[in-house]
Amino acid sequence: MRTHEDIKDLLGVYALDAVDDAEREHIERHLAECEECRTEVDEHRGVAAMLATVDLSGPPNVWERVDAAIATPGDAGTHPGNVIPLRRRPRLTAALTTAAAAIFVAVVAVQAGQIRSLRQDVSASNAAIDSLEEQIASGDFDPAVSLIAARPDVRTLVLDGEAGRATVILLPDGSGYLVGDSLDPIGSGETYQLWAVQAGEVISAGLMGPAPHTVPIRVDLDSLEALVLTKEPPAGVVVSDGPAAAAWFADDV
Amino acid sequence: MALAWRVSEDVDDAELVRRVGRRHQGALAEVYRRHSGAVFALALRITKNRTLAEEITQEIFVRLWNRWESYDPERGTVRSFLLAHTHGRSVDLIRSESSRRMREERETRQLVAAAGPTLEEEVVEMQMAEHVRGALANLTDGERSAIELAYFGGHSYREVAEILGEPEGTVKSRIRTGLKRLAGSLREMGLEP
Repeated sequence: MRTHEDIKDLLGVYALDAVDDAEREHIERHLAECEECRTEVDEHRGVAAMLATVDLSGPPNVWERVDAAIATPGDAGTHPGNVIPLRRRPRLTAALTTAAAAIFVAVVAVQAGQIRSLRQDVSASNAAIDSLEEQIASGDFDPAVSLIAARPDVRTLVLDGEAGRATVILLPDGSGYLVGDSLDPIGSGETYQLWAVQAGEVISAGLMGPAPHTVPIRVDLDSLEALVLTKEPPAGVVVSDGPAAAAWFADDV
Repeated sequence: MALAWRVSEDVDDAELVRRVGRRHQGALAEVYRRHSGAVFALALRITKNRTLAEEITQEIFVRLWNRWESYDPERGTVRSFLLAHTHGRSVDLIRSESSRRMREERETRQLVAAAGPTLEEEVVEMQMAEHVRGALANLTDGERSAIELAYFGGHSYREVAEILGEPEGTVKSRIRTGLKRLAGSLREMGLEP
């Protein structure tokens, strides 16, 4: 017979449906009479439900619509579906407003500070690509990355800056990897965060960790104007006002 | 059959389920509009099969229609309730290979799919995903991989232990403490699991 303590050990795996039938039966019998354990399971399931959102990337054009919505707040009333009820989600509304302002400032600052030297540094970029190819040749890559990098239709972008160099390898559909082996590792109290500037918007392309090796990413290649790495707190930020640790800009920016 | 009438987006989820209990199809369509994306995405991630994921999505909402009273608002959100069922069903399917039987038995009834999520809802989801990624980054590698293998991989904790080459007891407690730490991080970000 399992004790309350035995059952408690199993509550996490039970909430994730990771127990066998016999265990499930034991646990459910116990749950029927133990309020404390029921509450814990409910909370685990709540967390699990939030985990499920990680996989929900928005539809491809949603940020254009966000842009339209925040650019013309007066229109909101004419489109009931787009009204952001302040009562229910004030935090988000505030975040979006701040985002619009901070994004602009961040882009201008980054561009002014870095774009000229980056443009002049084409030979350095070429050298980086050469070294990347060497790494691929020497088998120093994750297989998935090597596979992608070997394709003829791949684009290789080099992010350069005071934190070192990172390489982004992208397939025509915008999926690919950031390879951060030549970046300075930072302490575990920080993470690199990647930002994509797409059609004038700065969009987080994800947390890369304190010492990124190869991290899968996805961007919209058609509208991609720049990729910027910043150093952020471990949980990342919605809007960055930090300096660029490394950056790549499209030629026509 | 067309829906009798649409339900306002301001009605909260728990109230929608009560209306489902009063056989209000519009209320079910609104629950579907709000949560079918998450249900489908989770089922797809676990089963890696679009057809199966669609079937599970349909089943989950038909089940809500037929057994709405099994939702207890005291025990969590409607989304958490629906996703817990989605997860259980997806895991059952990949473990038992009963998908063929399920297809044969599936109801032909079609839910009337209302419009997709609103822009605001999509943005909230993306923000949430960003927060959750941040919270996941706070876990140890061991906790994160154990939770991912169990939740998204649909593996039992014994299988997870085997995959990771760790004792079963370690995996059990990593998953539990990992979930607790996630709850803590999410609370700090102002999200109530």
